[in-house]
Amino acid sequence: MKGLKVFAGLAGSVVAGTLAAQVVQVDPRIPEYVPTRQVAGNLNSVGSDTMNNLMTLWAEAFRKLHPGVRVQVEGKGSSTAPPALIAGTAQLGPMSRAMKDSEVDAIVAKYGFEPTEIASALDVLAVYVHQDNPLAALSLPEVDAIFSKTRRLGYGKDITTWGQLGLTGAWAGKRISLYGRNSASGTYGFFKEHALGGGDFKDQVKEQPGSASVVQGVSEDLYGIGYSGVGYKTSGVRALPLAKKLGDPAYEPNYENAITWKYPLARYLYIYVVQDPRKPMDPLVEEFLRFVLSQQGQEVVIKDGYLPLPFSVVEKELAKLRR
Amino acid sequence: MAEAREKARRADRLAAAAIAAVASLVLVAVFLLFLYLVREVWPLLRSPRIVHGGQFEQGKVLLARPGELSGSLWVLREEGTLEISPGGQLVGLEGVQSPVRQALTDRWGRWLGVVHGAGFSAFRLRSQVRFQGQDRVLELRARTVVFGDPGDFELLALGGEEDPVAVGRWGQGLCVLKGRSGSWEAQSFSQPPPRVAVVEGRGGRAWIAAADTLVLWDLERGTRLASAPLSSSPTSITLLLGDLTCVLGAEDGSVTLWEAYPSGEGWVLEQKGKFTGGSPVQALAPSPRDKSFAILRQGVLELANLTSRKVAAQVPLPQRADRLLTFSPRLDGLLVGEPSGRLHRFAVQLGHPEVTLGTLFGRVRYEGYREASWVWQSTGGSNAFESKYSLVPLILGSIKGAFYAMLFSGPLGLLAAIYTSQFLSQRTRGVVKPVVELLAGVPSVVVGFVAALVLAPWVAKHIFLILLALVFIPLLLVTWGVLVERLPRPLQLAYERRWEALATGGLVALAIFGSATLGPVLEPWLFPGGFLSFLHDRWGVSYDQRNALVAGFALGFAVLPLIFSVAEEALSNVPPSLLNAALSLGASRAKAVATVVVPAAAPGLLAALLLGFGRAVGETMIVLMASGNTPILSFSPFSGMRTLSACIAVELPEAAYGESLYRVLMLAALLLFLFALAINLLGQVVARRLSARFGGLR
Repeated sequence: MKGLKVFAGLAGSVVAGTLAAQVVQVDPRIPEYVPTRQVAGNLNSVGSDTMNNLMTLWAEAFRKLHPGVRVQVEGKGSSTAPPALIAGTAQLGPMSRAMKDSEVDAIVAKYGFEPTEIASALDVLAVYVHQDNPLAALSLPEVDAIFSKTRRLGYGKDITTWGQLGLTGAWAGKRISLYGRNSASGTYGFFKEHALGGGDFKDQVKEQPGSASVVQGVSEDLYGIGYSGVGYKTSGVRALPLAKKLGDPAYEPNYENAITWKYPLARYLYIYVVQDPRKPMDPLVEEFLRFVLSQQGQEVVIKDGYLPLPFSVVEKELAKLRR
Repeated sequence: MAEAREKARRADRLAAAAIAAVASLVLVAVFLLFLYLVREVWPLLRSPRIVHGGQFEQGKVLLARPGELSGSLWVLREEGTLEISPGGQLVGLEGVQSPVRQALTDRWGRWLGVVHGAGFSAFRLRSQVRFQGQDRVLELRARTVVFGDPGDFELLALGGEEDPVAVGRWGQGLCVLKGRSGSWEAQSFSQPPPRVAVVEGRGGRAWIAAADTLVLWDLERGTRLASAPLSSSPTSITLLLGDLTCVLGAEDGSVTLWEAYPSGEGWVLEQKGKFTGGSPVQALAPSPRDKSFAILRQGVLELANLTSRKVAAQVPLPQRADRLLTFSPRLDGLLVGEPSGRLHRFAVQLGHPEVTLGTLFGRVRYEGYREASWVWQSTGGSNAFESKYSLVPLILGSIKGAFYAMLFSGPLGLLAAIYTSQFLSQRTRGVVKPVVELLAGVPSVVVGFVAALVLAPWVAKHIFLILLALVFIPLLLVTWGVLVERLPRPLQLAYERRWEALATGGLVALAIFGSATLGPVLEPWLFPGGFLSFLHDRWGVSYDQRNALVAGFALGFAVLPLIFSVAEEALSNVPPSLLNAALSLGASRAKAVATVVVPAAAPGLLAALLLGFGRAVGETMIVLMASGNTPILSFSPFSGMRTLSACIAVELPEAAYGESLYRVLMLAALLLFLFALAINLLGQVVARRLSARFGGLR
């Protein structure tokens, strides 16, 4: 698995966060983090690899305020979070998708209560094409027909060439070359659920072991199309505006459209904790989560190429901590 | 003197003992690895366990469902009260007048419909596990959502997401209640009258079965979307998790699986599976977590699975237990009831009913597929996803990758070994051999990375030139060789000694240069739309940037040193006396090598190929990056593949310990292990035959 990480790392270093170029600002109503008490001890996080950087950045910033805290971040995939929470090897379980019912079942079986889900950042999945591709926009049913063999969203025909999407000239007869994430990622699961309506990917989708390598693949393949986090965008690719339905207006994958849910492929990145409703929260975990949901914490989110939470969501999540 | 000899002998014995000890440790380690893999795969073979967990009297009840908390349940009595067990807490149902004539829930227990003295009421059920001190208790709330009086009718099914949808039989037709208005809408359903029905989760459509037809019904418009004839009269109907597959139980004991497919403007219903059984089906229950379902017949309870189309387990039941079949929400239990009010609880351990030899190696017709096929697609975004665990595309992918790797490295490795060992001077050989073996030290991650991000796009752009060069190079070399043969002997010898390497290199360069200059001229002339478009339009061959050609080349690069090294060793070990004998009888060197040395070393060369093949099958990082990981069923060099090893590397981190995917990946690892073992053993045996053959000649 080491090689995989090296690969993702190498590819990642080629890519710079371009989202920072867009002016996204944390809602000023989100409270500043002020440490109310000094905490110390070990904080372990096991889970999503998408959120690996984010967790590390949060941990670093948090340690500046609480020098006595040691944070360990391990990111091998969203599915590694529930087992770690069950075994008690981690207090924090970052996941780039919501927990499946069967995972919740396992936690309930062990602890007798459901895990607490804290939305920590917003991510936008973009559908990328090569920068020279003239395609203007797509709708989800078309995306479904491009990527899926089951076409649950109801598009009548399979789409295999660019001509079927209305491109003319030399593009018309060219076959669409598909790129995607490997099934270990929450990105894969989210895209399958929301862009394919829970259906099946075509076998021809080239599965890449990292978000950056999907973008890399598309930027090197003139007839390529792929999906990945918008934070991984490079100058070699273009993120398409998407519409929910055929004929609906298409929206750019940007912050404004994400928080209004006009853009159809926005999602939360979660941190799961196992919190016994009979007991007060562990001060260490609570302080960390309060930090994540603060002005400073959300600025870290922007720094890492993701999108900050809107104020209303932060309020709701903070209420979960106070419970 | 004797003392020194004794000392040496002792050292020999010591070394032999140490080597034997280490070797046996290695053997033990390999054997333990094998045992570990077998242990992890073993549970796939176990059938699900259903254990009778006790029976208890509840008095006369109309409805009973297991609760979120394992061991808990609630019942609905004729007086119109909900009672939670254990604890006996009562939950009032607002507006319900005793006696209750009929009560139903939807499949997942989110809606409760009650037909009572005053009419019909629908409730939203919310159950929650709460802490009361240190004890966990089930809490149930029932909120009235709609009330209406449809008169004399029979409630058939409930469903809906935000708002309830109820379907009932009203005389000969249907009556449908949508939303919160409380008014029932009559929808005309042609003869014969509906018997059983189930509403899709979203509430827009219902599957309704009459005595001789199965109908997919549009509840919004009150129209028939599609229908299919039935051979036996239906007794029970349900939809499996995900709402795609309809399961229908009939009086003749058969259970049939149905799916609706879009067809032109409308829909068609197709039967995609059938279970047979001895006695009439009394009830069906879908699993809330996967594609399994329970079948209740007289005196027997069965657990069946959609993907494997098999009944995975059976348990006997009291004859009278014929109703109230439900899975518990967390899939750890099952509830069955008798008319008297006696309830039977079963503990369920489902295991891996979807993994059978049939689903691993055979063709399966999955949900949403019009025909049975071999598919690998293990993970979905939710539990409603039907996992597809066919190992066939992966095995094919492994063989395909290794085949193209051998196509490149096999001939090259063998010929290079023959040339190096038989034709090169001792000095050059001393340089060439270590350099080639140095290639083996290049980390495969690096090879894969370069192949995926540099080579693949470049090859895609210049594929025509590459194919052209592949024709030019051998053509030019063979022509040149024939020309050299014609030279007078002394010149030929001088050429071979001084200029051969240079000339060969020059010729290869010339061939590449030639195709690079000719290619851009030839391609538009021969194939106006471009070579790749021509391939696709004429032969239906689609070119993928990450393909077997690129991955095979990179993989071949990795196994080339191994093949070269083993083959060179084998050739060098052929006793020189054989070659000398041939030469002294007047054979040319080439002739002697081709007819004496190569046949003598053949087992060793074969061993080299076998070992190379074994290594290519097991290699992971290169294929992971360069092959695209597409689990397709095609042997085309221009399409990608997904190999067993790459699949394990990609998916194992995602697989939770003990779940089906984890065990199937362990099975893939076991297959790889056995394959590598077999290939290596074969290679060893073959190589040993070589040394046996020439043992006496040295």
